[in-house]
Amino acid sequence: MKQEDFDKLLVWLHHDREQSGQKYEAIRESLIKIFSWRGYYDAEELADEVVNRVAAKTRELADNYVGDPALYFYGVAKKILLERERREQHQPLDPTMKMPDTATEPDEAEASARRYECLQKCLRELDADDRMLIMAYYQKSKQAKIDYRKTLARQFDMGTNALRVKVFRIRARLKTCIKKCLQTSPPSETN
Amino acid sequence: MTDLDQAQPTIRRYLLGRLDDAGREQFEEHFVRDAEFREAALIVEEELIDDYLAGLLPADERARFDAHYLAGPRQRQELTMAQAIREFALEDAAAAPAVVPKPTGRKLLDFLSGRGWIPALVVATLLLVAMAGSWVWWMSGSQGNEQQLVTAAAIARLNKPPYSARPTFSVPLTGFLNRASGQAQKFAVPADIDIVQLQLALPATPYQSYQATLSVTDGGEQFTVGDLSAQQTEAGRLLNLRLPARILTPRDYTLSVSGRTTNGSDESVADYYFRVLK
Repeated sequence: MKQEDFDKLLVWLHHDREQSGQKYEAIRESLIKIFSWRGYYDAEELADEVVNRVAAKTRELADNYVGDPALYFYGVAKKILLERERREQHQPLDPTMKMPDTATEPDEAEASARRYECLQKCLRELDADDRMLIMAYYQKSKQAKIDYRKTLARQFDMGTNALRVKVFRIRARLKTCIKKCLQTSPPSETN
Repeated sequence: MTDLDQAQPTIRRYLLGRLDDAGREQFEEHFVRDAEFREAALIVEEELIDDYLAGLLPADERARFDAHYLAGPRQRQELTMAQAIREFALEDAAAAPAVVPKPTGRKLLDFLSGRGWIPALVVATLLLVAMAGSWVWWMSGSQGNEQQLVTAAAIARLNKPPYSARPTFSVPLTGFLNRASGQAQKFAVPADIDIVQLQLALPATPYQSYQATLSVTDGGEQFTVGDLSAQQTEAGRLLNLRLPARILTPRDYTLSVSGRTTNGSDESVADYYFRVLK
């Protein structure tokens, strides 16, 4: 994709650079999620394909398109999926073809150890109250009662929905920290 | 804010591959253009994973989860991450030993070698107290249980009128998340005090009666006293819990309060975390 096209794409999304960047990220992440939920192993590549096609048409879109740009992106995504399905229908299966290796770590034991270290580090970095809430959440869930979220919400004197949102946002921060830690922490030495 | 309860069934059906083509496209359009709905969908997704890991999904949903949801590699990564966090959290909770009746020697050894804020002098003092037969948490076998029963009964008496006129130290406590973040609840018990009165700020929902369970944080249950009554004050609902000062040794405590409803069932009301200082 040409930089010029990408810049025009951002302007089309929003005249403010920061807001256009946020919109772009939100749309791209949404597309990745949708492709992944549909079972495609190359969700990020598919999302990039959508972005490339939309960026190539930005000039026309800026003049003619009326509506939420996100829906245009989604429309292109559906088209790409349709093309993909048609291509796969006409391609005979290759018995020697291997599925792409989706494993991100060569050694699961090593990956597990690094994940554990990062978990410890990131949990320590959480605010004490947030840490306590997350721990209480998992401990309550172990009681295997279907209404454990309602029980916890009552205990913390907050609505159930508010609790669910809070837990989600705490875990989102935790996962971001863990992913960052995994990317920066060196693999342990093996003998 | 998207109503989570209302949106949840559709989101779950989408994630388990149970929507038809039109329903699926409707969901995806909503997801891509509406930030609040997007967050709701991600919350429901995470909770679906939680329920899967906790064994709470019905058999048919579990089968769909395995066959459809986990078909995507990113979903498998989400599951791995969620499983790791859950196992860590549960291991962290399980690391604290439960309080069970044990032979005197073994219990004292555990007590001396365990974590805590108690210096050697206090340990020695507590050993003397134990030998004198006053309120000690860990005694041998059935005698330990009897001591705990005596302790709970004595505390129950302290919380029934007529209230003791012995020197009393009052401490207001607020429940977890109702207090400002970072606001620690800690206090030292003055030397000449016989009774500590914990003034527990309760949520607004009234109950017929209350039950309080005091535990050492990262330890097991210490005692439970029930049939407590709350008061309605200008500051809100308050539950006063009177405890013998000498049982509050310097360490971290958790006080769990539950309420009895009109139909006789018990519901968790609030947890209070506090630290007794030296």
